[in-house]
Order: sequence, then C-alpha cells, then structure tokens
Amino acid sequence: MNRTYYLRHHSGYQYEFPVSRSIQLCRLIPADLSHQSCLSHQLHLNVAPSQRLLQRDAFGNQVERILIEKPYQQLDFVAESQILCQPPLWPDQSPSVAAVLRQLRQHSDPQVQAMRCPSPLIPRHPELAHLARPHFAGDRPWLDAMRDFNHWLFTHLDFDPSATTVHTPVQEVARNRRGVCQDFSHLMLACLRSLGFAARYLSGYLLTHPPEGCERLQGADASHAWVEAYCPELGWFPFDPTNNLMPKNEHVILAHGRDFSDVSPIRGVLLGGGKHKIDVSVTLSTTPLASEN
Amino acid sequence: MSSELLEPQFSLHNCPITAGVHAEWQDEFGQLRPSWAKLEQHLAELSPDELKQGHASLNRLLRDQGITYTRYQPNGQDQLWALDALPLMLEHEEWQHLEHALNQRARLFNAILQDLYSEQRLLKDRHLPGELVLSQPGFLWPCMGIEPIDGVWLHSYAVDLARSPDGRWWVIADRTQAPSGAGYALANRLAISRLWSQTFKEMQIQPLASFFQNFRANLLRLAPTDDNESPHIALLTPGPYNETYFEHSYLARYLGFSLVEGQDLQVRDNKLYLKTLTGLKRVHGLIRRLDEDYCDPLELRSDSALGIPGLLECLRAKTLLMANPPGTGVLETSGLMGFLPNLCELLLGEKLLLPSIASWWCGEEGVAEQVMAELPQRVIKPAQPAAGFEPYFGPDLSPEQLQQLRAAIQAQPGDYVAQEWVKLSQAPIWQQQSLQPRPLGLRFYLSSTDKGYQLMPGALGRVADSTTARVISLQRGGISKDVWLCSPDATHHKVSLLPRNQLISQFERHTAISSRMAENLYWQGRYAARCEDQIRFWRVWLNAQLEAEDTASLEALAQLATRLEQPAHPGELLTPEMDSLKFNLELLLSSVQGMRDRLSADHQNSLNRLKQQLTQQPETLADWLEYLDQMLLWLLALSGLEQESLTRDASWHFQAMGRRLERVSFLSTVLPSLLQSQAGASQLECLLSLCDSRLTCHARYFGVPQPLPVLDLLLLDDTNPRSLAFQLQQLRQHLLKLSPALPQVYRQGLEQLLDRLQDIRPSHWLTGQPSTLSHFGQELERSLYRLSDQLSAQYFNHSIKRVSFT
Repeated sequence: MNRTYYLRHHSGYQYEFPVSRSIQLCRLIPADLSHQSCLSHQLHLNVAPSQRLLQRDAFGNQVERILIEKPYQQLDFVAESQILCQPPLWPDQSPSVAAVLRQLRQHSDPQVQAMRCPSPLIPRHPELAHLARPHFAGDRPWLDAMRDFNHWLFTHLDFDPSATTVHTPVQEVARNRRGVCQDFSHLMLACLRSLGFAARYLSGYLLTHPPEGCERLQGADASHAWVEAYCPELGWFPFDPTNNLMPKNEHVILAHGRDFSDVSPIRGVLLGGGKHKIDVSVTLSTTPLASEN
Repeated sequence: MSSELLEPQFSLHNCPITAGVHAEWQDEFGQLRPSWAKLEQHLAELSPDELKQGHASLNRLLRDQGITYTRYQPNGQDQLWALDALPLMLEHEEWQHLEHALNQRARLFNAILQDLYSEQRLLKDRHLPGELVLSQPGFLWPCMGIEPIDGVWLHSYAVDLARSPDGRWWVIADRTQAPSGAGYALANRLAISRLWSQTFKEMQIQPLASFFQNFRANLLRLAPTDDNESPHIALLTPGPYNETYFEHSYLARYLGFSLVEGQDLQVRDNKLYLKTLTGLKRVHGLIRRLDEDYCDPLELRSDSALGIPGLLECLRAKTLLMANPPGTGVLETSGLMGFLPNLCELLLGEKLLLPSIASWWCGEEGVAEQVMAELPQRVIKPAQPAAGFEPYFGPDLSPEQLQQLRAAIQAQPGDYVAQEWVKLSQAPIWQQQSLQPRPLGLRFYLSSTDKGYQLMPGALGRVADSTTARVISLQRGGISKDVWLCSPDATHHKVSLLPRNQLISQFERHTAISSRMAENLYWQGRYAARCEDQIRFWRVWLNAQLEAEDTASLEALAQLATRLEQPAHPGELLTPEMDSLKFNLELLLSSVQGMRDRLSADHQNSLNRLKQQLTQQPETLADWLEYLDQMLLWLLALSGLEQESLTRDASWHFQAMGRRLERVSFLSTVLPSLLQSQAGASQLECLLSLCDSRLTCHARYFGVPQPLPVLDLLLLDDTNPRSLAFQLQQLRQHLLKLSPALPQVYRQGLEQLLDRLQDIRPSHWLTGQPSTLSHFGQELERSLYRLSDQLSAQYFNHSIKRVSFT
C-alpha cells in the first residue's frame, strides 16, 4: 500500500558565544528511489545564508551546501517534506549465501564493491566475521540468513542511549553490546562486510506509533539509521536491527553511504561559538502537519 | 716508516664484497664500473690529509644547513641528518633507460587516477578489482568528479628502486600521495658538492637545479590566476612536528614559495586565501605535504584540525592547482603492482618498461592458496599501506608464526600482499676511515612539466645501518647518500647551482607574512625577553645568597621571587612546571619551530645551544651561576641577531613589540618591589643588575646609588634601553610603522592606549611613594594586557577556535 508522509525535522543549535562564520553540508532531502519519491521539500533557516548550493555526492545523495557569514548564536534548520512511500517487494525465494558471496566477489559495480570494503567507521575484522558466521551457512537462502542475523542483533544488543556517543568505535559496540540505532547499524555493517557481503548505511526516519488511545505528539519522532544489504540477483534490501524490522513502508530514507560519516544529516565547520546545545525534533505523520507559526 | 705508508691512498678495492649480491661499484670480475673508476681516480689524487679533513667537515656542512629529520621518538627531538661522504655513482646509459621507463610509469599512474575518479571503467570492466582499490583509505570518494587542472593528478611522484643480484632494477614501492625526500636529495647535493667541490666540478656531475626550476615553472604556468594577478604558490605543511618538516621549509625557501599551515588559509567564494597581516591574499597553487585525508574537515576527516574547510570545492571550481590533489594516495598499495603490465597495455598501448617486484594481491581468486604454499620465501605486506603492519619476512618466521600468518591471510585475504624477496645490491659507505658495503635503495623523483614528466638527474640514496639488514629505513638509523650522474657532454652542466640565488631573491619579496607567523614572532619576542629577565633575576638572587651580607635585600628579593612566581630553589627551574625556566625556554623554542625557513644558520645554532643547555643539571650554587651566565650569553646572541640580521618587515616589528611588552611587564613588577624610598644601597644595586643598568648608573652618578637617580635612570631616561620610557617609546614606534595596515578603528584604539601610557608616566612616578608605585605598576600591567589582547584580535584572528561538527 502506498503512503504519503508529512515530515518536519527541526535541528536547533544554540551557542555560548557568537559564531562568526560557518559552512555546513546538509543531507536532509528525502531520496528519490524506486520505492520512495520526494513530492516536495523545503529547508528553512532562521539566519540568511550568504550562499546555498545544491550538489550531489559520490553516492548519489543530494547535498545542500550552506555558507553563513554573519554572526549568530542560534541557528535553526527546519526541513519540511512530503514523501510517497511504496512497500519494497520482498521475494519469497533468494539465492544461497554461497552464491551471493561468489557473485559479489565478481560484481562489477563500484557502488556495490565500495559497500564490501572497510570505510572510515567500519573496519573489517575476523572477530566481527566470527560473530555473524553461525547465521550464514553456505547453503542457506540469503534472505533467511539476513532475517536471522537481523533478529540476532536485535536480541543480543541493548538499546541504551547512554552507552555510546556518535564517535563510539564499532569494536567497542561489539564488546559492550549496547547502543543506539547508529551502533546497531554499524555493527551489522561491520559483521556483514567482514564476511564479504555488501551492505550500506541508511539515514532517515521511522514512523512511530503512539500508545493505544494517545494522540501523536509533535516532534516526538527521531532521526533513525538502518541498513541495506545487496543481493546481486535481487537488489538492495533494508534491515532495521534496532527494531527487528524488515522495513516495508514506514521508513523514510534521506541518504545512503558506507557509514554514518558519509551521510551525517548536518555536518559543518564553524568559527567561534564556544559551548553549544543541540535540540532536535522530528515529526513524521500520515496527515498534513499544522504550521509551526 | 713514513706516514704515507700507514695511510694508503683512497681505493674502492678496499671495500669488502658480499657474495651473492650486486656490487654497485664493481663488476663480477672485480673491475670498477666506469664512473666509479673516475670517482676513485679523483679522490685518490687528494692527499690523505685532505681526504681526512674533507671527510671531517661533512658534519659541519650539515649543521650549517640545519638539516634535520624528526624521528618518531617519545621526545620527538630533531636528529641530525645522516649522510655518507661518498656519493653513489650512476652510469648515464642506465639512467637514460630509467628516465624512459619511469616517465612511462608516471603517465600510466596519471591515467589510472583519471579513470578512478571519473568513469571508473577499470573497475567496471574488472581490469582492477574494486575491492583492492576501494578498500584503500587513499581512495577518497568525495574527490569523485574532480577534474584537476590540465588533467594532471600526479604532479610529483617518487618511486623506490632496488637492484637484484643480476643487476636489474625493480620497483619496490610507489609514492604518489605527497612524496617526500626530494628536498633532502637537494640538501645532500649541496653538502656533498661542497665537500668534494673540485671532484664535483671536474667530473661534470649533472646539477639538480633545473629539475626544481622546471617543477616550479610548471606550477606557475598552470596556476589559475585571474586577469592581472601574478601566481602565488604555497607549500602546505602539517607543521614543525612532522618528521620531514625540515624539508618543507627548505623546499619552500628554495622554490621561493610561502610555507603555510592549514590554519593560515581560508576559503572564500570557492577561492583559497592566505591570512596575512594586510588582509587576505589569494593562493593559486598548493604543494601539498599535508596528508590527503586531513585536507578538508568539511568533506574528508572531520577531526582534522590541520585542514582547510572548503578546499575540495576550490578544486571542483578549478580555482586552485594542487600538487598533488587529495586522492592520489590510492596508488601506493603494492597490491596494484601485479595489474600494471595489463593496465599499461590497455591505457597507454605500450609494454611496461620497468618491472615491479613480483607481487600478488591475496584478495584475487586462488591467489591466497598459492601464496600460503610459498609463504617461507615471501615478504608479506599490508594491502592498505597506511593502516597496516610491518612487513613479515617469510624466511625469518617460525613454524608457529607461519601458521598464524596463514590463518590471518585465510580470514581476510584482501588485506595482504605477498612479494618476492630480493637481495638488495650493496654500495660502499665511508665511515671511520674505512669502506663498508651496505644494502642500497634509491628513491627517484619525477614531476610534471609542460613537456611531460621529467626525472630528477640524481636521487635520494639510502643505505641500511648494517650489512645484513633487510629493510632500509631512515626512521631506524639508515644513512642517506648523494647520487651522482656524470653529464654525457661537456656543455650540458654549465648550469651550476649558483643561479638559484637569483631565483630566490627575485621572488622572496613576494612571499607574504601570515598572521600565524606574526603571532609566532610576537611570542618569540616575549618568551626570549622573559627567559632573559628570569635568568637575570636568578643571577642576582643567587649572588645575594652567596654573599649573604644584606638581609634586607635578600628579603626583598625573596618577596620579588614570589611576585614573579619563581620557585624557592634553582633546581626547580629545570622542571617542566609552568613558568619554570625550562617551560619558558621550551615555549620560546617551539615558537621558533614553525618558522625555521626564516632563520639563519647562526640563529639556528644559538637555538641549538640553548636546547643543549637544557639537558644539563648544575648542582652547587657556583655551578648554577656559571650555567645561568652561559644561558644568558646565548639568549643575548639571539637578541643581537634579531637586531642585526633580520629584515625590518612587519614581522620584525611584532617580534620587537613582544620584547618591549615583556620588558614593561617585568619592570612593572620589579620597580615597585625594589625601588622603595628607604631602599638601601645593596638593594638598589640588585635592582640595577636586574635591569642591566649598573654600569651606566656608576658612570653617571659615582659612588653609592641613591633612590632618586636610580628612579630617573630606570623610568624616565629614554636613552637607557632598559628604562620604562624607552620601552614605551619603542612600542609607539613599532605601532606607527605597522599602522598603515591597521583599519582606522583599531588604530585609534591603540593610539589612545599609548597616549595614556605616556601621560601617566612622569607625574605619578616622581611622587615616589611606594603605594603609588605599586598602584602604577598594576595599572601599567592592565593596560599592557589590553594592548596585547588588541594586537591578538587585530592581527592574530586565526587563533579563534575552529570547530567541526557532525
């Protein structure tokens, strides 16, 4: 079933001292894919930038480059988008693990090969391979094995926002077995790549369901991260180890890359500022959102 | 017996031969090779004494040039560069072959880079395994789509060669990222050609200068200037703590380019600028010696504090020439070598002329099995050179170690490369008056020109520190060699190294003074004066303790020590505590670090002596006094050099202002402490010594010093270079000299501040009450802090902290 989503993502940065100059790369525009299209998108800023430029990165994501040259102590990004999502087609059958590995070794697309390689935040290591190997017997259908491994991660990792930061290395996550969606996803990627599979990092949002009888709260949703893995005959398939989901149509994709460092929704460099506070709120809804002002 | 018989003539036949390896200097019949024979003939003409003296002067020549190499050691001290007195000879025909072959290799590498960062046909058509290439940390995805100026990715390229026992050359390693060593080759040449100047001339050795001139000319030619701009090229260094920083500053000076660090640069409107004292100055080209992934914290490593945000966008906009652009490091993997013969045919339609050492990337189907079978004969290297481990030598490994290595290769075959192990050729080195054979490796340098690639007519020779060593590493005590190539004809070598002086003077005036350099100089001035004052204080205090006659002045000095935040015992001067003498001296030395390209050999020498002094530890009071005297002398030498040898440009004014400000700060503490109305003669003597004004006082006023004349001398007498009045007037002078560069607002602020200082001067001090004195001292200090802050805000604005966030 197709669904239309209304999205509002607000990131507010508050600084102790004036920031005199900043430049940021934003990956906040929902991706146009076979099963997702971005119907409209607008990014509002409370400070007028001196330059805005829309670019595309090496993985095909849209990037907005924003330069601000007047001093500010508060910077608000408000991204409003409308997205049409179709559920991906999950096949009943898939090739064996051994066949997938063999085909991947020979695969000619650099965009696929890149997702088999180590990347800035994803090392390959025999011990990481060891974690995942029991699920990937050579004669198993690849999708079954992936589903199992997704479930295994969900059950063996604790969701614990206090356990990690955005900089926690994946080996530490493998040891301590706790973290947030970024950590779940990085560990999944590291294990899969250490075995020779191709898998990539997705950033975006997940529709959350308010408890029975409660109304959806504005801003209560959050940015999310999950994983796509590649089967040479069938294409890319999403897996969400944080929620033990095989995403259908409740995930909205912003960007994909080798790991978080490729797809960070807002990344930048600034002068001055001192200490800062970040405030993020996301609302993803199936009905149009009331205007904020 | 005569001494001639005891010291025989120089003969290369005295160098022992190692069986089973290629000897560079002679053939298998014991005949010297042609150019070695010539070298021997020339050196044999020198008398044993001349040889001995020449040899002995090598270290002095190296020290004069200040050639150092920072080894990675816990204390990171600079090491004197190790250079052998005997050059390595190359036969001309052989070099011609290499020139041809290496030129081809450079063209091939450039073509591979062009493809990898655009179409990626080589990967899509499986001519190169994607896994090998894309696993390289040196493959930078953000660089995809960049089209470098003139299609050149690889401007400078270095290649390590070695010779097998049959005398053939093999490529051992390729350096494509930011090749180092060409500057050391040049410095070697300067030292060795001076050491054997007669021989060098008579043998008509090819000079290196034209190589650097062509490199330089090509950068100037390609620099994307706007109308009416003259091209401005800079060398980007990670800074003085890098192991090859000497070379960065040496090359920048030699080529006449600015030496810059990332924090000196800024991108505006997709153009690169240098932050100078007079504002932003456009930079059109960068010789990059900063690691590629550190270049742009916005798009590459976000934790890099050394890079320049927005740099990649300049490359996309083609407003910046980079030699080399980031992304070229991907070709440094030895896993690539096995694919080169095919790629050469495919991309250039030529046969690969020079073989690489046999290499197998284990990630390819079936290769790992083969490698594991032959493991005891192989050298195993990481497929990602930067992220890797030290090579394993199969013959050295125990059965257990071999088993472990096999298991590791089996688990992650793509991370390993196996290579054939070649016994390196040997060259003679001349140490302690005898010749010894050592394993040899040569690093050759190529650079792009308007006529294709050129090969430097020389190389950086490197020999291991023992006859049996398998790895040659300057990090591990290897020794370098100058490499000589005889000119084929007599006319060719007429270009001597001398014209380079013209080259430098012509361009040096254009090199801009960066804000960072000004700040460094300012602090250099402050720390130099601070150390000097600190030593003077301790000399006076220790002398007073030795003589111990006047308890009143001892007490006053002890109080002053507290105010100056000095420890109770001189032993603590050499601890690393904050404000210790060692602490201040090290800050002085580190503020000089980043500007070695501006220092003369004498300057460098004085600094080295200070550094050496720091390693000593005097014991008795008398020892301490002698030690402090010695230290003060070197500091005074520095001060003299600043006065007599430095150009009076803006940076000099900053250095001088640093000194003046520091001196005012010292005076504002010392005067109120010691210059009280009831101060006795010995206390006033102490004060005069602290201010280096004893002689003047005695000459002028005779007899025992009195408070009022001392006050006049140290405060108001602007002919006394130690008086407060003198410092303030000088400060005003420096600011006036700088002020054309100052925006009006700041100029007013600074002028007002100075006027106030001048106003306060006479009236307050002549009342002579101790409380007034100390009150004034505090006020003065506050004003100076403000002045120092204003200078920082106006000129050193780069020091605002830059923050990356993700």
